Amino acid sequence: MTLLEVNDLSIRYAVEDADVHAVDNANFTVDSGETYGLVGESGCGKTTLAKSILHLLDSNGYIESGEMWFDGTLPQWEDGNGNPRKEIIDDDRYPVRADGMTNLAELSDSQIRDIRWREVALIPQSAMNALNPVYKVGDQIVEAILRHEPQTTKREADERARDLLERVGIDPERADDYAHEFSGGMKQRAVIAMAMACNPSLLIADEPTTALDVIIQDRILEELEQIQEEFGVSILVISHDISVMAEICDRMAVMYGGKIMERGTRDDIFRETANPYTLGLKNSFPTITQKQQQLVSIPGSPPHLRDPDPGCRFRKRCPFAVEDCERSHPPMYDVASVEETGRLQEAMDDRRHGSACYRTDELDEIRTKAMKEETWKETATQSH
Amino acid sequence: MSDDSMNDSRRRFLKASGAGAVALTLAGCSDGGNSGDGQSTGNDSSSETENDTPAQNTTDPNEVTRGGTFTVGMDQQPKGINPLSTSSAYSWSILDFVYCWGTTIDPVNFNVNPSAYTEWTVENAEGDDASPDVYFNVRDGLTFSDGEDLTVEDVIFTYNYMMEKKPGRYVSAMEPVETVEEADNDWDVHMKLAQPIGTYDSTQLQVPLLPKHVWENVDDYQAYQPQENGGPIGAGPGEITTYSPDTAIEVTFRDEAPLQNLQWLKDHENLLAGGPFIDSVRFKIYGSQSALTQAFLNGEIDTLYSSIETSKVEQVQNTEGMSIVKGYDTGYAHYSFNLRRTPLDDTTFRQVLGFAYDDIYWTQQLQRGYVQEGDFVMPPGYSAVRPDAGGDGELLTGAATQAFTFRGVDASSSEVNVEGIRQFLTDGQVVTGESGSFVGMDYPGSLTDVSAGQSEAKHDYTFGPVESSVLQDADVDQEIRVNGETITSMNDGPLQMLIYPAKDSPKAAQMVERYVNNLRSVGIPIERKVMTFNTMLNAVYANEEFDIFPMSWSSLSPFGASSLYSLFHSDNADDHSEDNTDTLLNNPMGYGLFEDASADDLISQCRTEMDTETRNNLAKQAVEQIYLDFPTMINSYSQVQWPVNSGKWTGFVGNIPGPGDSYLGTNINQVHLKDSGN
Amino acid sequence: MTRISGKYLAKRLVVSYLTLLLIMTLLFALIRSAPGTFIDSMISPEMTRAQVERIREVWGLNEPLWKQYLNFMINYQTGEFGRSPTWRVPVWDLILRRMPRTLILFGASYIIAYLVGPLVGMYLGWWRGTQKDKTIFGTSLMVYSMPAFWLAWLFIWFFDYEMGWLPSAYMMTQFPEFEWTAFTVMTDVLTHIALPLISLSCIGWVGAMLIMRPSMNNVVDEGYVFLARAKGLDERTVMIKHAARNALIPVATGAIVGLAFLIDGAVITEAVFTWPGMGQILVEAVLNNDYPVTQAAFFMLAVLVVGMRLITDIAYTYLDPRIKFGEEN
Repeated sequence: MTLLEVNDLSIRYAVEDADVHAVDNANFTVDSGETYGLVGESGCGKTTLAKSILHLLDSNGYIESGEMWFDGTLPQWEDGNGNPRKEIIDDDRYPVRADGMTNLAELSDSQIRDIRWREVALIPQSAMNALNPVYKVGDQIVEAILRHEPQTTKREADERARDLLERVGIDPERADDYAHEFSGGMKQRAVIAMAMACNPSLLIADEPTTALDVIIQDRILEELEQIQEEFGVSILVISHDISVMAEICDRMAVMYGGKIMERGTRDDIFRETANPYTLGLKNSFPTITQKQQQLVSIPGSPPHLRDPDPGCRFRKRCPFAVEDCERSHPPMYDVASVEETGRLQEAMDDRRHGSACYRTDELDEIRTKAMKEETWKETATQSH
Repeated sequence: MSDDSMNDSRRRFLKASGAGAVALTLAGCSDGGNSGDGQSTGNDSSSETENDTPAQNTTDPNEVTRGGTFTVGMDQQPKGINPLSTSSAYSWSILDFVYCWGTTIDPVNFNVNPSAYTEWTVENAEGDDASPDVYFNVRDGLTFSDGEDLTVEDVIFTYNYMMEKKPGRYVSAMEPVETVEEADNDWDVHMKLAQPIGTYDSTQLQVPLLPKHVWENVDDYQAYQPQENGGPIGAGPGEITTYSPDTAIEVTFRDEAPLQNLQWLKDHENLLAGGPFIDSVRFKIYGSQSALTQAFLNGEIDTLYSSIETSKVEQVQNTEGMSIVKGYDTGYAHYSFNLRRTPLDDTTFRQVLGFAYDDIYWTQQLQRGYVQEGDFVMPPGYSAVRPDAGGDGELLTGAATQAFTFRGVDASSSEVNVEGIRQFLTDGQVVTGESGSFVGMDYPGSLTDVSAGQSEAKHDYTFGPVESSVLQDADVDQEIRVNGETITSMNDGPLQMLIYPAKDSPKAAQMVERYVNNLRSVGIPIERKVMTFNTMLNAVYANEEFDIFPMSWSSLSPFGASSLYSLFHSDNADDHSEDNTDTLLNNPMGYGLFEDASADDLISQCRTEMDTETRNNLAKQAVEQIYLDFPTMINSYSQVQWPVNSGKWTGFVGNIPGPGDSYLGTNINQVHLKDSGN
Repeated sequence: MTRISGKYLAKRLVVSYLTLLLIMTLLFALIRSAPGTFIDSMISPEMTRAQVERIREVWGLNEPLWKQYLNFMINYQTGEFGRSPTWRVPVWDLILRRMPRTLILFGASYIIAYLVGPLVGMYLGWWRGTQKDKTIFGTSLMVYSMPAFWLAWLFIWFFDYEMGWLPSAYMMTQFPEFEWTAFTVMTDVLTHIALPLISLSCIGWVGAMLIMRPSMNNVVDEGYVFLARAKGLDERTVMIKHAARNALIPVATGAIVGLAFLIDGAVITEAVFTWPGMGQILVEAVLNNDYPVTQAAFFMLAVLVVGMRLITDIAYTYLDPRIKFGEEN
């Protein structure tokens, strides 16, 4: 069942005299209970995309167009079962459609605050610093509970906070401690516990493992998986680390320069990789599935996104770029269809394996060449 | 800030002198008046001469409108109101109204007049080892403010209490007093003195009379706080009715003030008898000089203590309902020399230091006519003891007062007459008191027939090539040799002139720069050394570590004797015979310690002379003797500019010394509402 | 909540006490090293040496220096400040009379400065870079750079001399023509304190603002501020409870420094506004070598600063749990 459906989402940052196209026409769908990954190099727009769901962009960022349909709505629009009431759905003034989904993009500042944490919790990048140093850890969890469930007593909230800490493996007594008395991993887990305080249906984890050492990283990832099992929450993981994705994601989207380049299930992305950028990215990370010997990085650097030209965003670093790539950014092609028919056919379903590349019909050749180190080095010389 | 604090320090060094209510003040540094940029008032001296005595008083005291409250602003709080422990002039300007004195001094002619004592006499005063008997009568009918009568018993108690407790302010007045007791003849009181005191009627007979019933119970007079014990109680015209020592004090006058209605006052040409005419006088204390000045300009107060800064004088004069009451300095500003050091031990050399000082530049250009050119060690208001008073010559401008005036290459030049001065030195000349021509100017001879202690130079002066570095830097053609040696090699350095930091006294700094340059061009190696007031005080008065230093005095005695004694007698100089005492001595120059520079005899005679005229003549001689010996160079007297609210009040007495401070009491007793007849 | 152990508090009290002793020693040395003594202004020219010696003896200046020092240290610890040679009253009288006035004025301006300053700093830091921030910040810097006395004169000139709205001297009307009642005393003091308070506060708050603004600026990007917002808290709560609460920590340090400026301000402001507090007589006391008053005034200041230091140290542990009272750094 669909939890979040993002349609043609574009996000801009207004800087001086230009617009930065941080996210361009993004389409993807997150189902209930699954872990969805957004992967890409830093600056590709993945964090912007995640933050925009909760309207947490920096002050100069804004949603230019697009929809974010979410299965969950404001408390005042709900009936007893947590579904939107009929008159709300029928009334055009409310951004709620017939199937009960609410368009988060159209909510006002005060409305989105009721979605935050209650429906969608976000573990920010550098969760290490996300705990306020001057308040007790437990109190910070209590604050979130009381914010969204005002009918709860302080004592109940406190008990729940301790319970949550225990569930992520922290001694409930530690609720009375301050953040500086916690280790790095404990802070991360405390934030996870906090995120689950209001039992949200979507948990956004922004770089959950960055800045942690490898052993802790693994534990945190296990923790997330365990949380998911326990609470049945969907998780949107954002990471530059494709190996993390390989470990925990059911499905994922690969982003580059504000565009989704490829999307599909974990197997689609890792076994049937269809996009040159994904191929390059895979080469640059040690993966768990393939015992790769040598890491090859993609030459060049990510594009600036100030008023970008219409061509493929990746073409300047792509060893497979052709003339077509200059003209416009390629649409998302349905990889299975193309392989089947040999013809380029645009993807109609977000859930199917898709790749934005004009040469999706030459996949075999591209995959073979991409394995070779020289392929990537040539581009480097070409581009200079 | 810094200017204010310098003023503070000028006033703070207050010392009781022998003259009862008149205290002697070391007035500190520099600029004479306050620095300011008031417009030049043109040639002030012309208006001075036509109006240099108090106006004749033609008002009939019976037609004076009585009543009203007169408000005086002050920039410092009085230092307590205990008459035995405070010497603060601020305190005494208030206590003046609370207490009465045996005698009182006429502010115009400085005669000693009856007050609480009706008559007095002295016997057995002849001879050097005489111990005179002073007899006096106490006036009947005087009462203290608590209703008790002032009796002979109170008077005797006052003296004996002071003799026993020795409060600093009266210690010198009481020192020669052996006993004070009821007289066994027709007189009320008999006072036995250990030696003749010429000014006994203005010192020993001029102490504030204390009520016995109050003070006989006071053991520690210093710790006694009168305000906590029913206020200071005296037999003066007023009593303190409001006392907030930090902000405001009020003296309310009693119904009767018998001492203001005595015959000598009724007969006085310039003063009104029958005062005070106002109901009360209020003193408001302000936090700074500028706040005080503004308060006056805004009409919040009727006058302010002492004087207004010269930069505001014109504003006051041009404002309807305000005017300036002019007055004389009670002291002088000077540069003094250390007579213990060569060549400052030689009159010739010292007199040369006078020739190089450009008086016009100081009085007219820098001070814009708000100070008067200096000559004698008594200010122009003290006519009784100035050699030039009463004679043919005009005060301050007579040729006999110009012996050491600036010697320019010609009469109007500000370029120093180098050749003439060198000639004076190499010839070994001295202005001795004989008439003659010195460095291009004629001197008519001394006014009192005294002559300088030296008749010719003590050292041999010659000029040769420049060796001292201060002169080399100054581009001078020749350098002086004293007995063949340069001053620099003789004293391990050039002469040092102490000065205050330029930020504290900018005008003095400018003046000294000109002065030092003039002396250098003559060939005298001299340099400046900057010191703060307190440091200089110590260096000069405790250690006598200086060549030349600047200071000023105020509140000198109008009778001369006691001031001359404390400032110029060898008794008050450290002869360095034992250890150098670190007691502050008022004669740091060492004048009187040397036979060829001393007025000790004249001063001593003056102190013990009982006859007023003879004493005044002795004082004049001593003053001129000091002038010729030149241990100190008087650079100027300040001109007091006392601002008053003349729109509402009248009756002010000007052209007396310190109309707004030393004789503020006189003015408060005279002032009355203007709208008489309405 | 008890992060302060009794033992450590005791230790700190002892250290504070020792600090005071040290300050007193320095005070003694500094004041005695100035040229001259207050006796200079008491000796009359014609006194004999014996008489001078007697005065020196009465005022305790004949004792050897070490004994004077000992007396000073012992007397001060028993609250015995001696008598002022300048004003001829017990020093305690001067302090009891004048100190409360100083504390009223500067206490009030201190409170205003540290209420307004951090509040404005919080908003400016939060809205950094906006036009509002630039305007207010620029204006306040301009005010801050004015000499205090100059601003004071400007206020006096306008509000008193030109308009006659507010009095510019004293703490209460001198020689009032009305009766003193609780009400008139209150309104009278309020109208008199208005001008000095306004001119002090005009400048005073900027100091606190200058610390708060960048401090706020630094925390705006902190993870916990972002998280607080992500939790669904409204902007006010995020700004005040999460951001400002952390940004306040350096302001507490600034507050002690601000206290030291009190003495500086007291001297000038009390002179300009004829406010009869301690500052007004301090300069005179120093110039007169009035040891008893000078020592007592600076001693009171030292007690104030050392005491505030102790209080802020304790306050710190509540402001910032990362600092433990008594923990070695």
